[in-house]
Amino acid sequence: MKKLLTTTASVLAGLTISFNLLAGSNVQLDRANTDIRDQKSLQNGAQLFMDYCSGCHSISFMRYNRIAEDLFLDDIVEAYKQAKTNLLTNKPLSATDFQALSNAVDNSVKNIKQAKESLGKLSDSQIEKNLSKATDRMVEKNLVFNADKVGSPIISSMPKKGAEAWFGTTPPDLSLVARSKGTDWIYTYLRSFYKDDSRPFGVNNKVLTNVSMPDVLWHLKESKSTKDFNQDVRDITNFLDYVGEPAKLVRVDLGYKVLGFLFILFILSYLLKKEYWRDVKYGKWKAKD
Amino acid sequence: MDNNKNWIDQRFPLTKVWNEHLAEYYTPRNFNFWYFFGSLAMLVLVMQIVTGIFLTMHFKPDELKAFASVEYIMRDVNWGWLIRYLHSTGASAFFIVIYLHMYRGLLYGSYKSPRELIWILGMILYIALMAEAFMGYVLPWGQMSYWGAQVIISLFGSVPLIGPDLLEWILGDYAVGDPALNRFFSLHVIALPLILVVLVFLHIVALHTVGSNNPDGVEIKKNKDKNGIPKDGIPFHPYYSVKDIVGVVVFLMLFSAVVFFAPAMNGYFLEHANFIEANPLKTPEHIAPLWYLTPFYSVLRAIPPMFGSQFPGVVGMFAALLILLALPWLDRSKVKSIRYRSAPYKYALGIFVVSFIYLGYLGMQPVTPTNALLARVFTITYFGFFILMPWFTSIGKTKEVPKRVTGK
Repeated sequence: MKKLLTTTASVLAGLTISFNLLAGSNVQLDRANTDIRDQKSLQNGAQLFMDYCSGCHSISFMRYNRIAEDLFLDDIVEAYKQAKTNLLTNKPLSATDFQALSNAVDNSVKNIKQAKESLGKLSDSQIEKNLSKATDRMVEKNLVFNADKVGSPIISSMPKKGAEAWFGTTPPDLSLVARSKGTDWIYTYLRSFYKDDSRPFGVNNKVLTNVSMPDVLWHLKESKSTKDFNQDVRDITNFLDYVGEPAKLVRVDLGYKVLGFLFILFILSYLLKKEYWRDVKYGKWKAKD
Repeated sequence: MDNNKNWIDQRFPLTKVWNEHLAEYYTPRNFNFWYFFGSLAMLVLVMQIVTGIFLTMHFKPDELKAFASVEYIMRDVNWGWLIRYLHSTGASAFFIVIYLHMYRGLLYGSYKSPRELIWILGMILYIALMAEAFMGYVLPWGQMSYWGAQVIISLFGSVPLIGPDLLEWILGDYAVGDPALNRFFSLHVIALPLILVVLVFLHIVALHTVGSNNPDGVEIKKNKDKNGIPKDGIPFHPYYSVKDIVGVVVFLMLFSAVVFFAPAMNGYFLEHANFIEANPLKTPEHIAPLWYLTPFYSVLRAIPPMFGSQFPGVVGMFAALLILLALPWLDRSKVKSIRYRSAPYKYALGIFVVSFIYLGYLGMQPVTPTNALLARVFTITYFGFFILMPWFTSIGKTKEVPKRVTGK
C-alpha cells in the first residue's frame, strides 16, 4: 500500500515537471507581477485604458458603473469619512471636504451649518446611495468619452467597416484577453513593439509578429523613464486582469473565510467521529472473538 | 412523534428503509482511505445538480448568446461567479473522485463475484458521466467547446456506410452549430442527469443487496453471530456516516482551495482558449479535450487510419472504455485484495496505472513523433492489461487470505 502510494506520487511528480516544461511558448514572456489588490494601479490602468485603448478596443462584458463601484467608490467613501470627521471635530473644511460632503448629500454644500443640517436629515443607507451615485457621475465625467450612459457596457465607437478598411481587421474585444492569453503575455506584448519600415504603421511586434496594431503607447514610452513606462503597462495589464474576472477582487478573501470555517468544521467532525468510534474500538461494536 | 412515525410507516416503509440501508446496514469495520470516494461522488453529483439548476436559470443555449450569457453569469448575476466555478470545478472533481473510486475497485477486487453487477452499473455510470461532462463543456461556446465538439462528434462520421448520415442526424446540421448546442443543452440538463440519478440508485441497490467489499477482500457475511449480524460488521449509521462527514469536510477544503484560489487550474479545469468565443472560421492551433477524457483521446490518436478511414481509432477508443465492463470475468484470481495478490498482478496493475496516466497526459499534448510512439506503446500496455489478465491472474503465488478482516 505504501509502496503503491509512493510510486503513484513519483509518477505524478514526474508528470508535473514535464507539464511545466511544455507549457512555455516560443517567446520568453516577462513576468507582469500585477497585484489586483493595488487599487491605485487599477485606477491608473483604467484611465490609461480609456485614454489609449478604448478608442479601438471594446471591453463589452464590462460596464462603466461596475468600474466605478469596484475601483473608485472606496476613495469617495474615504474622502467623505475624512470630511465628516473634520466636520464633527470642528476642524476647518477644505474644498475637497466640501466636495466630499456634497457627494454625500447629493447637493452642493456651501457652509458648515448647511452640511450639518443636510447630513442630519439623511439615513446611512441614503448617504451610501448618494456616494455611489457621485462615483458614477465622476466616472461618467472622466472615463466615458462617448454618448454612453454609465450603466452601458464599454464599447468602442470605432465603426466595424472603418476598422477593416484602416487596419485590415476589427480590433478584438479585450474583456477576456487576460484569461485567454494571460497577464504576462499582455505585459510583454505591449512592451515589444520595434521599428520596422516594411509594416504599414512602421512597427512590428516580437510577441505577435506582423500584428495590425500600431504602437499606441509610443508617446508614453518616449515621455517617461523605462521604469515608469513599465509601471504604466503593468497598470493596464492589471486593469485587464480585473476586467477579465471582476470577481477576483472578492474571491480570494472569501476563500480564506471559507477555508477557516471548514477547518473548524473539520476539527468538530473529527472529534465527533472519534467519539462514535470508541464504540468500535472498545465498546458495543468491538471485534467479537 | 412516535404516532407520526407509525402513521407514516403504515403507509410508507420509512423505518424499514432507514434500518435496511443505514441503521442496520452492516458494513465491514476495516474501511480505509479509499472508501471515502463513493459518498464523495454522491456529494459532487448533488452539488452539480443544485448549481446546475441555478446556472440554467441564466444561461442561454443560443449560438449567438451562449458565450455572453456565461460571462453575464460571471459578472452580473449575484454570486453567479461562485455558482459557475462550483459547477466547473465540480466537473473535474467528479472525475478525480470517480477515478479514485474505480481504482479502489481494482485494488481490492471489488468487481469480483458477487459484485459484478455493481461494477457494470458503475461503468455505465462512468460512461454516462463522460457524455454529461462532454456536453456540458460545449455549452459555454468557447473555442475549445466548439472545436472539441467538432473533433469528437466528427468521429461518428467515420462509421462505415452510415457515417455521414449519422453525423447529420446527431448535429441537426452539417457542422456543430445552433441545433447541436440546443440539443446538447437538453441532454446535459435533463436526459443525462436523469439517467445518472437512476443509475446511482441502481448501483446502491445492488451494493446493498450483496454488501460492501473491504480492503481484505473477506466476505463479512460468512461470519455471523447468533443474532445474524456479521461479526466484522458495524452499522453504516452512525459509524460510517460520521466518518464520511470528516471525508466530506476534507474534500470540501481541497475543493474550495481550487474554487477560490485557482478556479481555472492553470488551464486544466477551464482551458485558456475557451475564454475566446467560438469561431467556426478560426481553428485553434492545438485542440485538446479536458483532462478527464484525454486517456481515451490518446488511444484514438494512437491508432493509425486504415484503408483511409479513421474508424479503427474510433473503435479502439470505445473498446478501451467498454473492455472495462469485462473485468469481472477476465480476472481469474482466487483472491480479491491487492494485499494477498500474486506478484504478477501487482506489476501488471502498476504498468496499467502508469499507462492510463501517461495516455491522459499525452492526450493534452500536440502530436509529435515521440509522443505518437509513446501513445502507441501505452495503448498496447493498456489493452495488454485486460487481454493478458486471465493469464497473469492465474500464475504466481497468492498469499493466504485470513478468515476475518484484519485490524488495518
